[in-house]
Amino acid sequence: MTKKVKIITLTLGSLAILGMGGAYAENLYQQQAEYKECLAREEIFLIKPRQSVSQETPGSPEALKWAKALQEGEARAKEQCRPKTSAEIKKMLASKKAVREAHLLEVEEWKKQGLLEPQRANPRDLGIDEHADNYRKGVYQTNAWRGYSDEQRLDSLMFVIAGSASGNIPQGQVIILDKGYGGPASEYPTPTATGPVRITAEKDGVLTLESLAGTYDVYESGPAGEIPFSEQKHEKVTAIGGVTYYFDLKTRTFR
Amino acid sequence: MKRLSIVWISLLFIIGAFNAHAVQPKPPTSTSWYVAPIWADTDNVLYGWMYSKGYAAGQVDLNTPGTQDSVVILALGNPRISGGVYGASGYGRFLSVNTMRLVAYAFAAGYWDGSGSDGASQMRIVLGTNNSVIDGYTDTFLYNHGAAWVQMVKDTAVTIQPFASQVMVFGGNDIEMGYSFPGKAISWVNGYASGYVAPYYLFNFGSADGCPLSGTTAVPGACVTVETQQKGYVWSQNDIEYISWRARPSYPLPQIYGTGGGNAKQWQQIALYSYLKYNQDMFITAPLSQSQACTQNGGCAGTNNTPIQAWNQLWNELNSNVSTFQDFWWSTDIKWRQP
Repeated sequence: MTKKVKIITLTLGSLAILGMGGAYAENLYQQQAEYKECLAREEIFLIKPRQSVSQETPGSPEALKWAKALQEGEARAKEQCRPKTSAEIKKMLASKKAVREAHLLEVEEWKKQGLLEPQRANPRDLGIDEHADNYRKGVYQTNAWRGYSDEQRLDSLMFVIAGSASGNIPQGQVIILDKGYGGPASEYPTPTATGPVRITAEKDGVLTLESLAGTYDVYESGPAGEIPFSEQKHEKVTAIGGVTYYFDLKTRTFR
Repeated sequence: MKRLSIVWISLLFIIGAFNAHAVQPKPPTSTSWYVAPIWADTDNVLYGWMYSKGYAAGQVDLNTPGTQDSVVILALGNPRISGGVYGASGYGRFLSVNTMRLVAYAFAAGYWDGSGSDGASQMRIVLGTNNSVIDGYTDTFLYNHGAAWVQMVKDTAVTIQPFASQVMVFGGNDIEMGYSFPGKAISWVNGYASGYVAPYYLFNFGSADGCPLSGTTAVPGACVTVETQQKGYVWSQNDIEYISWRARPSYPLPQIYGTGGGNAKQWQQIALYSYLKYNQDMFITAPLSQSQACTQNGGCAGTNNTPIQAWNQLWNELNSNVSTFQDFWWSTDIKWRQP
């Protein structure tokens, strides 16, 4: 080997080593940066234990609980943020692939068993519901009814909220939600303003509603959580109540 | 030379002052879900749907440069019991604690799959109920329901263990002033706290309706709205501070819906109350907006903040006072499950 070749080989070798070293250093730097970023992210779950440990009486059961929580949280964060080995990354990717394959097989199995076919609602979820979730702020809600307007059609499942019109409690109304809480609402005021209504029965697609007597606050500005209550103009209005209404679910009219 | 130095120092000061007041950049906003039924629904249809939504969230993180950290609230409806089994209303279709565990599993598995080669991004799932129409329940029932809820969260954490390097699960409650007496909501929170161990925190993703917009002192202000007046509910800043922060498992993730900025002011005042009364640095985790839900149901004038509006309002309010300044963790916007 000539001297020239030796020099070139040595130079190239040195450059390669330096390059690898540089790449290694850069990789290490990147890993450290990611580790710090990750620890900062996990810190979010340590804010409360940290603050609580410093505020509780030292040695008290509460202080010990928080200290344990802090210790476990820190250990979790370190484990979570530790750079993963290539074997661990490989294992993770294999796990993700396996989860996907298992899901696809599962869906096929569900299809075979007819578990994805449209089904009639469970009877426990039908009828009058005295605990129905509040529909919207500002709607005075008494109770609700869920059922089929046409027993032959599964897509006729509807949700009816009974109560009053927004900002006008003596004016009873029903709200029909054909697509559940998230869909558009159709409002049907009672023929007379005798108070909020509640559903008392349903038979052959007709709801029976009774209006409730009482003295109610009526607000000119409408309800708004942002506006201080003292700034909202209102007056007291009395509703006579005691009137029975019948609402036809098919025609969506009061009889 | 001296003049140049003065100019430079002034310039640096101005830049520094500007940076000190720059709003924390909002991270990508996740989509949270009201897990409502669709007609002719089955549990398996719901699981498949949840998987697809988890997958979509994972794909977003995979295709976003860097490591992401997101929260997704799965709002499951108000507390229920059916056949002796605790659960939630599902907004019209009862969901047992076991079904909800599998719902969370499906979402987590979908995320795990969808995030692909991104093994670092994090998804925090909040399984949430609410306090609407719970006055009819006894305090004991609500306490037990809260205890069952935290048990469900812990069970879910075991179920999603294979995805634990990227997915965590927590409890949640959408507690609103017009929904129930404060004592009822507190009973539920205390039930959750009874079985709580870190890190199964409880996120209150509720409101502070009718609470003071300013003038907070160590004496709690009243939170009065049309609904609270009509129903005789007496809420104060102290109740909201307790359920959102002072209760051992609680963190606030408040609704910042109001376009007028009032909700942001109300929560800043609650954080200030926490500081003045209890010397607490209450930490607000993220603003919750509802712009997608509003688009779905025909709009909600005055309460349809976009995520960036909610973020800026809340950040600016909290950082207007040295006793409440902070940054957030996440941004999320809620939407209804629909056909």
